[in-house]
Amino acid sequence: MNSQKEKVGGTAFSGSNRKESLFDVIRRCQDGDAKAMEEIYSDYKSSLFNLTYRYTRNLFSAEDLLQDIFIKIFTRISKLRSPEAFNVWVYRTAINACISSTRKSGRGKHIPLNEIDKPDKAEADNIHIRLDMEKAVSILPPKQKAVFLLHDVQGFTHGEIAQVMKWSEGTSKSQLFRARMKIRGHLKDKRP
Amino acid sequence: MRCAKAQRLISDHTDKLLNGRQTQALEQHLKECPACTELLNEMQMIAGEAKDMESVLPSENLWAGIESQIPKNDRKSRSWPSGIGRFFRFSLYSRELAFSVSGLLAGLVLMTLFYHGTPFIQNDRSIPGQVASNQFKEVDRHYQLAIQALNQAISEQNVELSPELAAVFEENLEIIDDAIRSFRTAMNEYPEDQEANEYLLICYRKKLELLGEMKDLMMRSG
Repeated sequence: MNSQKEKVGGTAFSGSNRKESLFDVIRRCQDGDAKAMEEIYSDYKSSLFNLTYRYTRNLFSAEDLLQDIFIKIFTRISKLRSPEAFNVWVYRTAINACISSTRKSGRGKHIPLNEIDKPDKAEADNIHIRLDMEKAVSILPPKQKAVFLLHDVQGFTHGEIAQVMKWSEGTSKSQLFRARMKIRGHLKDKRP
Repeated sequence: MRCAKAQRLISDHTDKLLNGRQTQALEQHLKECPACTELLNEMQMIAGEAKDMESVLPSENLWAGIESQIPKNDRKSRSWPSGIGRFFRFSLYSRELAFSVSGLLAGLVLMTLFYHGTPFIQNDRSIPGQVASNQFKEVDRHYQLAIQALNQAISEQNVELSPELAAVFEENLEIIDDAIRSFRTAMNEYPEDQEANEYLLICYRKKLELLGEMKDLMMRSG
């Protein structure tokens, strides 16, 4: 497992260099093409892993959860009727699995952030800011966490989040507001 | 404008989602309200810091583990074992092989039954050779890679077995794969359960043995 400094952002496929369209890859997946499945995995793994990590707060558990999500996706993809809905469906599957894992594991689990919190010297001034933010995100309720991670970290619009969460855009906005207010409260305690 | 309404607009203002009239009304309020101005600054800071949150990547070999758990009727390009019935024709060793895989099958079924008959609770009983969780992950990955390599080696053999023999192999592999899935599910639910870890490793070993036997058989007949 690696940790990298680059931004976690943009929905999957936004940076894909593939010549073939996403729809073609999805169709090949639906036909059981393992190569196409691997392509989908490559395109979504980073984005989804950053979600699972922030729900499990443990890299190994995050990998297990990511594995479960992809197995669900590839065993159910043949039933997906419209490839246009693929992106929403993938994130809905992932968020549901993340929320479900939170319910199973309980909220009192420890937060082993040390695995990604190995700073180099140049980052020393910023490390406490990132740590505070990670901890603040970790205490958000599961649905608020989903909105915050999708919107503020991964760059989804409220319209996209509304589809993933089966909410209205207004609900997405109000959930984001609440999430940010909770984070603000946490940071205020840490950075008086 | 009251502060409660301004606060709601501030979040949208941070994302530049307000229309002209809303922006004007909010900015008017902000001129007169230091508390809401502070909130806006902090919202902008939070949104900015969120964009800089560190990215983590999964292990490079995670795909191998995922692929090995996708039921084979949901993927077709893996030449083994989904197409096995079409490729294997001869039956030189079918009797001895059927005997050995039957033994294997019986062992696995017993093991699965035994495990599922045991409550999934953490116990203090230490098992000899118990594998620590992190070490287990590594061992797990090595087994999966070994299985993948063996599958690849088998798929490259240009030999065909009898449909009956192929069916025996396929049936037994399915049983092993089912057992692997059961133990993986148990481990996801009870990550500290060392028994599930142990049994999963046993399943991998059995799968490797079966695939190894298959490969030897094909090489001998090729």
